[in-house]
Amino acid sequence: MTPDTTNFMLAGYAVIFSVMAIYIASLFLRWRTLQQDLIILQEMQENK
Amino acid sequence: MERQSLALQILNIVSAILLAVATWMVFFYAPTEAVMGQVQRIFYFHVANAWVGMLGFIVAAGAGIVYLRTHNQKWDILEVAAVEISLVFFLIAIVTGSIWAYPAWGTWWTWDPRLTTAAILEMIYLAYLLLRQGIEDPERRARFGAVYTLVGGLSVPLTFLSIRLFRTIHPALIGTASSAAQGGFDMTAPMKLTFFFSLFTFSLIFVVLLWHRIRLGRLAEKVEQLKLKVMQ
Repeated sequence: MTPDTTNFMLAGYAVIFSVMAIYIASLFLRWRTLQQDLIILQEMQENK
Repeated sequence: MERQSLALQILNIVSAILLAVATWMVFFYAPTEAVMGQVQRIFYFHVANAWVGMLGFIVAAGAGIVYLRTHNQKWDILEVAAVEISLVFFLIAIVTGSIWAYPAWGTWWTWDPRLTTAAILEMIYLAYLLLRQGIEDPERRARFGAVYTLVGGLSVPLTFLSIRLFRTIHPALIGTASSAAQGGFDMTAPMKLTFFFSLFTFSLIFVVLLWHRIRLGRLAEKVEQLKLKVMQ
């Protein structure tokens, strides 16, 4: 008889999609922070 | 603000669609394996993640070689991008492998040659990112990174071949598995199609993420240079 291993499968796919989502979010957040830094630095350079 | 190119925007959409199709195939198209049951479906994305992880480490080693020859900073940006993305995918492969192992082998983890080499590989590149952060001079940092990824890259074929060279319980997909392998299975045609489709999808996702991470690296470099100018 085939064992019921559905919970393990769901846990596996939860890990896959969660880790990928976290990484994509980290890329977005780092991009946004760097853009803000760039704007501030450009303003500082203009005021110099 | 630098906009994404049209090609990248298209690739974003295509990779999202392909991921949705691959997920549908895994859950609804591929048949349930008779011995292991539903957990066998982890295999499709587990192998795809491991493949992309190893691919990125090889790309990083290649970028390292080109950097050492040209000393062009863009190869350093590519190298870091490839390592970072591969670390994420390879971590997914290790964790999903462990989740699959419990019902298949009766344990979450065993110091089997494949699992051990995979864990070492992940730690080698985790150390790469940590050590890089300790070097302030961009040129020294890039040179260190290039040499490190070149040497670290040697562990990729060792990890890949470990299930063929050593006695291991990890099943082999290509070539002959070790006689001690447990949890192997023969793929039917829909299983093969789902598997190769997943491999292709994750390869494309790797390219898209690499592109995004390179853009981030370029922006970070721009900010770093501007910071130095302002501070002078």
